[in-house]
Amino acid sequence: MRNLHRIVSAAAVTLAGFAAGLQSGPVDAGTLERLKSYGKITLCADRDLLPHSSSAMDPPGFDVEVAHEVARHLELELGFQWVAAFKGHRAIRNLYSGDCDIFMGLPNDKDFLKEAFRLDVTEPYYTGGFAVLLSKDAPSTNLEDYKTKGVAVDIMTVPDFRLFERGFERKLYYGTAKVVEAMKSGEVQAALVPALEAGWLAHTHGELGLRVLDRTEKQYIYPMGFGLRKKEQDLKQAINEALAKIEASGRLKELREKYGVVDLKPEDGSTPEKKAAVEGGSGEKAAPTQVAEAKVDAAAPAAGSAASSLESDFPSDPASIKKGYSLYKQACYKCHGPNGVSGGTRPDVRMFAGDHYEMFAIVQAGIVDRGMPAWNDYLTETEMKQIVVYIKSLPKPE
Amino acid sequence: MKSRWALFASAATTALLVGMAGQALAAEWTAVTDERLQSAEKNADDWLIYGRTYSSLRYSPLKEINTENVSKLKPKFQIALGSIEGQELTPVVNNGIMIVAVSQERIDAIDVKTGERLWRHEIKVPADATQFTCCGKITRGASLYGDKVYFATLDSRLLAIDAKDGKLVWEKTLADYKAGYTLTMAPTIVKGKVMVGFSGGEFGIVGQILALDSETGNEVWKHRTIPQPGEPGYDTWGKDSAKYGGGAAWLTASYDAETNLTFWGTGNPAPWNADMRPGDNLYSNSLIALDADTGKQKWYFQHVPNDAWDWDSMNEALLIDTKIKGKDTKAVIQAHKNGYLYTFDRATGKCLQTVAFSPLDWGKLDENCKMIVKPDKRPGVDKKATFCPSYFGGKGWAHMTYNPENSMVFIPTTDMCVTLHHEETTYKKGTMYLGAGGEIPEPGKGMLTAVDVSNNKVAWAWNNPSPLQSGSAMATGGGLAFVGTFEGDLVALDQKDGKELWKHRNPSGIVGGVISFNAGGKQHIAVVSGYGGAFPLWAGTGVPPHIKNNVNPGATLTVYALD
Ligand code: HEC
Repeated sequence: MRNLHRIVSAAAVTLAGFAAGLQSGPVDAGTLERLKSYGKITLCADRDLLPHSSSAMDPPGFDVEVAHEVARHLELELGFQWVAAFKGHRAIRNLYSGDCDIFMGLPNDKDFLKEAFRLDVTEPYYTGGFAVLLSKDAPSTNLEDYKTKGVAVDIMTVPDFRLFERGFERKLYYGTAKVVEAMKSGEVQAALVPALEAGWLAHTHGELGLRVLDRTEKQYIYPMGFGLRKKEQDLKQAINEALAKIEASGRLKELREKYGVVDLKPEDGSTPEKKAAVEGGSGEKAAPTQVAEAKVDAAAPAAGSAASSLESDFPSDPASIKKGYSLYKQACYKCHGPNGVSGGTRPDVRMFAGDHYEMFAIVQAGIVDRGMPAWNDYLTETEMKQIVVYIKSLPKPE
Repeated sequence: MKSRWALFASAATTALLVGMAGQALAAEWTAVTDERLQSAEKNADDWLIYGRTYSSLRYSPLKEINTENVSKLKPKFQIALGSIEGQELTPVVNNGIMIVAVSQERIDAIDVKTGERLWRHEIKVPADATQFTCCGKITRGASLYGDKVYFATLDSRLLAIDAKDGKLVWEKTLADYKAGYTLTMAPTIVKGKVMVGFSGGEFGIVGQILALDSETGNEVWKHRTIPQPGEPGYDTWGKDSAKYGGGAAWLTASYDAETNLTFWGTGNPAPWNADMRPGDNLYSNSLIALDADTGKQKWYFQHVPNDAWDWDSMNEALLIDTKIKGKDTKAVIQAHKNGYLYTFDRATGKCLQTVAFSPLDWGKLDENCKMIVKPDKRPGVDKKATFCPSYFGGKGWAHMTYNPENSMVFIPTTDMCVTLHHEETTYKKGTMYLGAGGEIPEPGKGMLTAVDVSNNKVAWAWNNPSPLQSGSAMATGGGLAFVGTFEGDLVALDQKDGKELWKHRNPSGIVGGVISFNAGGKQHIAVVSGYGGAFPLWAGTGVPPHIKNNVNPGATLTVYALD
């Protein structure tokens, strides 16, 4: 389940729990008709997340422009519901609750759809995922070389979990923009971040000489489509047809180029290293020349390398549990109750639906705007793991 | 042009009417002067101070609503306040304007006759502030002085707000909340000095009380409750433990104009593990009397030396004049977490009498008011002890009320035990400094306990299926004792015998104070409901299932009156 987290910055951690509580409804064939009667289709998009979208419309963003084209083909006007995509679960909730009709940039991925089972995703309009981003002075283009030095990731994204499993030292940031800031200050040299945003930031920070590699491990590549309510199959059909037309007319390619969307390609050991830096400041307003580059390392470890197992990541010996118990009292007790027993106003951690990794992710990053602190600055990774192991050792309430 | 003139004309007429009919037309702010504050006893119409009077009696002399007619008491209006945090406040009322501090989120000024909101002040507290506090985004309320409303924020700022329009006049940062220094009390304001004490006894702070100039926010004096090297009492802290010694004075103080003393209860020493701080740990768990002008400590009484139970002495001190052992006495009474009600001489701090008001099993007080504890009732390192009352106290922070007409005090009481042990711990900034663990064996219950102070005897106790741990009580001249419960009931009892005469179920649990005031010639009762605070967070298995399963958070102001 953890593999699904934040395939885009959208699919957040609570999605699973949220989706699980819902029933998939019957198919509704009248969606297009309904939209036509309003004359409008509404897109949920981030107010300020270029190159995806920007409410300032200068430029509007890749997602917005593609959505415009699709709406034109459907003979509908495009309306907007501006949301914070970082709080992706809420955005998806908006979709569920009917605030908008489409939410772009969701992975057409079997596992994702299994989890978000009230959603469906159209054919892709680009191939996205997570790309390697390197600072100007990064000594190697092989991620493996940063295993102990640390690789920056967007917190709770797929790379966060995958690299964790592979025993990488990770440096956690909220959003790709923060990763770029850290590169600027020299804190990190390598990152594994959403490709589209990385390309855009590398471009808009041309002076930093950042490089984005267009080759990445297969597991980090996803076909990205329009998310919509599953029962609205007629809308999905119509969007697929519109996308085919836009692709055939060359318009989609034009837009991909305008926003520097380079389709990620799977790593392939035979490709030789090329050296092409992304030089920014090309002068064209919204046209970053994305990146290009090379993949070097044929020997990237296979996903789920054998070194990682639950017991090695979260040792559950009595000493660790005891330490976790003490730490729980120092850090968690005052909100989640003695011995994990909640008094009712905060979640009962014994009932947490996710696994060790998911709980660890929440402890690290918190759910800060909802009163759950982020513990990264106050506890070490080992300490946080000990707390997780302690909580997982508690008997579940009947 | 015409419309401008029309506007002018109507404004002029309104001004005229207001001038003639006075407050009958519009709620108007009247300056909260020292004189009004010091004579609050005699002015039953307002509720100007957190405890209504500087003596903290929470006694309203109003008697229009009384034992005869309280059964007809009805909600006059209810307002949803838009918060799911615990509502521990006591609202204050000045000349028909109620100031409601909605947790640490906003302050509303409400016209109590119409329920209209006059202004709102949004409080901005950083999202991580709750990490450094024990009990959520709570506040006990805002305080009034002159033409300003003063509010202490969780992240340790003092706000001075214009009482006429809710605009911020100034703010002052008083401490580093990330080191555990937080503010949850309604400030005590006396003669131009705004006094606050920091919360944070569970985070290894050193207790501090500050007095600030009400005009500028500049510090006038500062009093540390825990002596530091070189200061008297430092030798009562073995193993260098005074450094993170706790002793937070986290509730609003009382003030006695005659002696010019302010009375503060100090909290538990830190950590809870008593072996880590050998000695008496002065002046934790004490009642201290500080000079209002200088902050100098005039006297102290330590109820619990070398605390092993988390039995804070934070509780409010009520200043009463009554016959003690047959003699007219200017006294201070304080009900303690350990289950005893103490009576002291106000000027000297001499302990005059004690009486147990709550179920307890740990031992007793001797004739010098010293605790004699059974050895098996004192937890230690890897030594479990089950004792009653629990760390929530026989009396939690829920305030008691005293009726000077009959010398009766009504004490919100918690009946609950705990099994506790101590363990080694280390101070770690941003986490709690406890060194203890335990479990509450059974859900708690509660009662409102009435004690006649003049004969030092428990008169009656009214029982409730959940602890009265957080909702403060109020006695009235109409012979009634009001108190709110976790169930959400606002209850009115007969002061004579504790008989339940009336109750009304609020939308959520009550964890704050009930008040009474006069508006438009009618007596009103008001309470803010909104479950939360320490109990649901800390009590775990001590939370009765009917509360855990049935009570939802959500803040509502309810104002009651007779038809
Ligand atoms: C200041 C109070 C506070 C503290 C301290 C705190 N939490 Fe939380 N925690 C919360 C709140 C509030 C939520 C619910 C957030 C939401 O509504 O999404 C939460 C949610 C969680 C969740 C998700 C529960 C679920 O079922 O979705 C986990 C797991 C968790 N906390 C673990 C911990 C651990 C472990 C610690 C100690 C390291 C801790 N928390 C400390 C307040 C706190």
